[in-house]
Amino acid sequence: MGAVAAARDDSELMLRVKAGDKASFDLLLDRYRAPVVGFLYRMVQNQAVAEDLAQEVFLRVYRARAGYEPVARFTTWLFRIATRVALTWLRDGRREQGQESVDDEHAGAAVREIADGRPSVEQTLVCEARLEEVRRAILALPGKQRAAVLMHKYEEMEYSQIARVLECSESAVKSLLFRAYENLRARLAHMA
Amino acid sequence: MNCPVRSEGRGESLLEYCAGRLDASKAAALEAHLEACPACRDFLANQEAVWHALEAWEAPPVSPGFDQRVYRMMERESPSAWWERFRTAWRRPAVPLAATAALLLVAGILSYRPAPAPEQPAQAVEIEQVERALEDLDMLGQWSGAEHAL
Ligand SMILES: [Zn+2]
Repeated sequence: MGAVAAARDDSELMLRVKAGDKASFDLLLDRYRAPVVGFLYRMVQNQAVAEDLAQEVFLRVYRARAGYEPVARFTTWLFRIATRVALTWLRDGRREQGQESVDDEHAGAAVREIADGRPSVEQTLVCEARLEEVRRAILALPGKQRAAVLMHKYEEMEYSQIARVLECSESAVKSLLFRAYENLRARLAHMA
Repeated sequence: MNCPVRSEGRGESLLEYCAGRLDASKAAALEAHLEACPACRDFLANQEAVWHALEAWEAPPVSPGFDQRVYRMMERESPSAWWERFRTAWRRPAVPLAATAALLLVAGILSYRPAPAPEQPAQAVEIEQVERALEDLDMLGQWSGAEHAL
């Protein structure tokens, strides 16, 4: 399904949720569970926190159903809620209050994916060290830069949509992404 | 074309080229420029390194109980008709403190009913509903006003 068809479909589903159809909510949850949790995981870098925040996002979507109007893409609205929830969590510094932010439990998950066959211990260690660097580089970005990069890279959003999610101008997004990638290049370019 | 690194575009075309999202004609123009511009070649090589490094970072799978937890939150939330009416009726600025307090008390009393979920005692449900009432009032800017009056 093309992006435009999916967008129309999402809005239609949400309008059905508004009309009281819970099955349409199930479909939206099924479609966006992984992208929303994944985005929040990369924002806060703790899977348990990411899932809690994602639940809050879907609950807010459900709560707001009565006032939903398909003026923007559903994903714009969804990621606007997700970004706000994440930025609020980061701003409140909840990770300082006993929440260990960087989640080591899942550190090896991607290593198993990228290494072919059965990686040697050395290969695994090298991969883990590289991933750790990536995670720390992302974590070092200010919240809005981080959100912009994650939406650009992993959600494959265009500048215009990122601007609508972050409620800023497209030129502000250009500047956010330029600075964010500049920071990342300074820290990660040696990994080539 | 203008050099994307030195122009006002803030490297956008190079970032999009690296992401594989530049249309064919723009990509061709950029490739011609790259031939002649070491600064852009440098920028692109470093950006590609970052891009591939980010590619390797996968998010862990979502826990199997995720949907159930969302549905549980929605059920707890599920407003009965009176609650919806209450919210609509009182969605106005500056509710006097006494009225707010009285409504919260009524909310507490009305929400006292047999436990809807077996694992959840009635009292917990009641407390939660009152808490949510407070939260909603807070969101409407009413509770903070009432607090101020104290
Ligand atoms: Zn150039």
